[in-house]
Amino acid sequence: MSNDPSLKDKLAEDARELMALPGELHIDPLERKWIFVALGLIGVFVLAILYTAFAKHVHPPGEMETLDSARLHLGGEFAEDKLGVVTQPDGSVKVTLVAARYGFYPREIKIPAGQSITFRIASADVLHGIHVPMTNMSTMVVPGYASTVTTTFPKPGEYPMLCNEYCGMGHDHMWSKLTVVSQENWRSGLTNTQSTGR
Amino acid sequence: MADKSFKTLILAHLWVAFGAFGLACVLGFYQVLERSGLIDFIESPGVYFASVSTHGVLMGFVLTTFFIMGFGYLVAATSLKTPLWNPKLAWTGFGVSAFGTVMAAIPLLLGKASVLYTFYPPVQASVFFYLGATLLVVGSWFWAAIMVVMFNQWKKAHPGETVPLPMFAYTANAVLWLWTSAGVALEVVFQLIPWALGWIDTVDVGLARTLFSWTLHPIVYFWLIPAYIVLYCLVPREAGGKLFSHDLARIAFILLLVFGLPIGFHHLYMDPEQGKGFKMIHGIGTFLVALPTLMTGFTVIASLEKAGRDAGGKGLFGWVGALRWRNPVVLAAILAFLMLIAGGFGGIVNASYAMNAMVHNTAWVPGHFHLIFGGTTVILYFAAAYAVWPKLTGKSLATGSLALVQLWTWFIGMIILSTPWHILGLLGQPRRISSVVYNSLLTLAWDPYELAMIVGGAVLLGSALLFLHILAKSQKRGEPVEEASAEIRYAESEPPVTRVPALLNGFGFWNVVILALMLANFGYPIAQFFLTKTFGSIGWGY
Amino acid sequence: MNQQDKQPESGGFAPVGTWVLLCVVALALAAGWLFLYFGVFLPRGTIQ
Repeated sequence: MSNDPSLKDKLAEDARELMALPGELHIDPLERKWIFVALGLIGVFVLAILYTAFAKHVHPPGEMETLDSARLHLGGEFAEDKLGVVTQPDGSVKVTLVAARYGFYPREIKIPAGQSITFRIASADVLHGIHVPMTNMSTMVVPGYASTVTTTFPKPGEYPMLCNEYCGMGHDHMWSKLTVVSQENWRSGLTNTQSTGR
Repeated sequence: MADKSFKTLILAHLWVAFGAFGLACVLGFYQVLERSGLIDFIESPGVYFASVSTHGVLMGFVLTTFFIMGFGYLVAATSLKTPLWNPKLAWTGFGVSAFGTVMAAIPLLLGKASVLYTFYPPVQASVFFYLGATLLVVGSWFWAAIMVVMFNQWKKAHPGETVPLPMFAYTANAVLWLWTSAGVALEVVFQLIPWALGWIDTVDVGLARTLFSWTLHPIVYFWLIPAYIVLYCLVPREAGGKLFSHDLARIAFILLLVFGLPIGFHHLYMDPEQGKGFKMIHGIGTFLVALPTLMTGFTVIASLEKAGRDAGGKGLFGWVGALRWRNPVVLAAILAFLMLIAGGFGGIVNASYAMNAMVHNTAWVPGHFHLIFGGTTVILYFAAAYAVWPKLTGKSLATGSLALVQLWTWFIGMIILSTPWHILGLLGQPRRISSVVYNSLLTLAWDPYELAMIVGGAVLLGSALLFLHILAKSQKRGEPVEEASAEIRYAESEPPVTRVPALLNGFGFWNVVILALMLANFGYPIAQFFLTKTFGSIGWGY
Repeated sequence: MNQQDKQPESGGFAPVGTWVLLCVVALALAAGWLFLYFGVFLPRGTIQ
């Protein structure tokens, strides 16, 4: 065994010192209490987040899913004829959008209030962000990746759907119109026409 | 420390920093005016976005890096009481960074690098912007190396002794910076520069954003730690007291270093290229790094309380009134803490996992970072400048209570600017727009806040110009001071510092911990881009 | 070494004002966050 401790020995010694550290420090009793208060405060936030995440499924969007932004128009999920609002046979609503300078296409869409809506969005060019003010519809749209976000809109009304990531000189003008209709208007609309608004 | 060329080195760094700051404040005022739509003929997205890009680079990269380097050399030499190691290397680093800054500034000012200070691809800037930014960072690595060398040399020459707190903390900052800057360096060197030169056709935007997020959080601690050094090591003495809790101070700096690094995904919460699992892990890590700041609040305010009580303050809060409100360093600290509470609250909201959807890329975000960085951090940079100016220039601060006016106006202006900005965010206003042209009723609510922000911007601009005036006038026409009375005096500790454990006197172990955390938190999230087929993007103009 | 030592440091000085001030700040931060999280964010709709 050489005279210098090996890296592993040194780390083990450091780890032991780490365990012994609290006992070696000068900590004022009030400050020690404060550290527990601070940890408790942090704990309140983390617990609320964990609880709503696991019990109520409150999460930010995101799972990696690649796509070729340069070829969206050639076919597949984001081809032009597939864009817009589609009611699935089970009643759930899916909205498929393309983000491109300078709008979200289709530029006017109608969806029902009070039920889960899934958005599938792809960029045809650069980085965009999509956000409906006063709601939790928010996600980044990254070229090369498909964005999926599921949310509910509690209040019927007309909302702008705004781009909130710099995407060029026209960024100020990049927006689309979202109309959220009440459940009863949506259902009567559905029985009147077989397909849904695009 | 009587070495004239050493003082010239520091002053060169500080004047580049503060000169950049002054220009950026002028641009900032133009921006807040342009956005409001109040004055027709100045409206122009082209000019606006070139201005925002320049403003962001000057404030976030030039003011900070040069100030941190210059103040760092000063703290190293004065706290260790040794001459600067390898001044030639320090000047070389300064030169590389300054050259890079000019190289990046030219396309920025010409509107050929309007990609904002985050420069996310695939919107593409002139290659000289990326090259210049790289050189700015590379120059700072010279600084970091010098700090680490001086730290180690001192320890060798003083075996078993406790490294003075200012240098321990500043070396932590240098170590932090080396780890932090690696992320953006990888992005710029392997993706953006070859792409801008045409050597590769596409870049993976998801990978670029992930690498940038590696840097984007800890860089704010790189900016913040020198401000905390002012709080721990200068403020208690200026207040007439001593540092309350030296051991916990060292722990706070270690916690900032270790937990500030592996948490970048709270900048990517809304992104599709990373998953919920890693976002949750980074989120919890982000909450943990709030702890050293909460500790700092207690330690420094307790130090002030003791000083205030010693000065005669009675009762539970009488010590607040008894503090030296007319001492610029103490005043700056008090105002900094007020802004830290509000800014820290905003930061906690940003970090809150899914709740980020409420604020992401809205006006809340620039409101937050102007308050926490432009407010808390920069006001302490002002304090540092006021504290060391006599030593550097050999003159006393020429202007009486003007420094107090400057600090109060900076605080008031920042509150007026950032409060409406946060509200606009909650009302859904996007960030990075140059005008409000949405034909939607919801946006009508935004107007009064935009107007209020103009007042804030004007007050801040005045305060910034006053700051520069105070420094320049003192340097040129201040009363000469004796070398001895201008010495930088660091706060002593109460109780006095005895030996600290080796873990609080070095960084070897902590570097291993950081490596493990970075591998755990970034390993797979970066590797995944190489394990799956991804589709890159060509360069786009704007 | 000091875990058993209940005496305040610094020769009898206990930062009571700081303690009270920061406890108030902690309560305000908690109240503000809980209000934003449960009173503003969640009512705007589910998200995942």
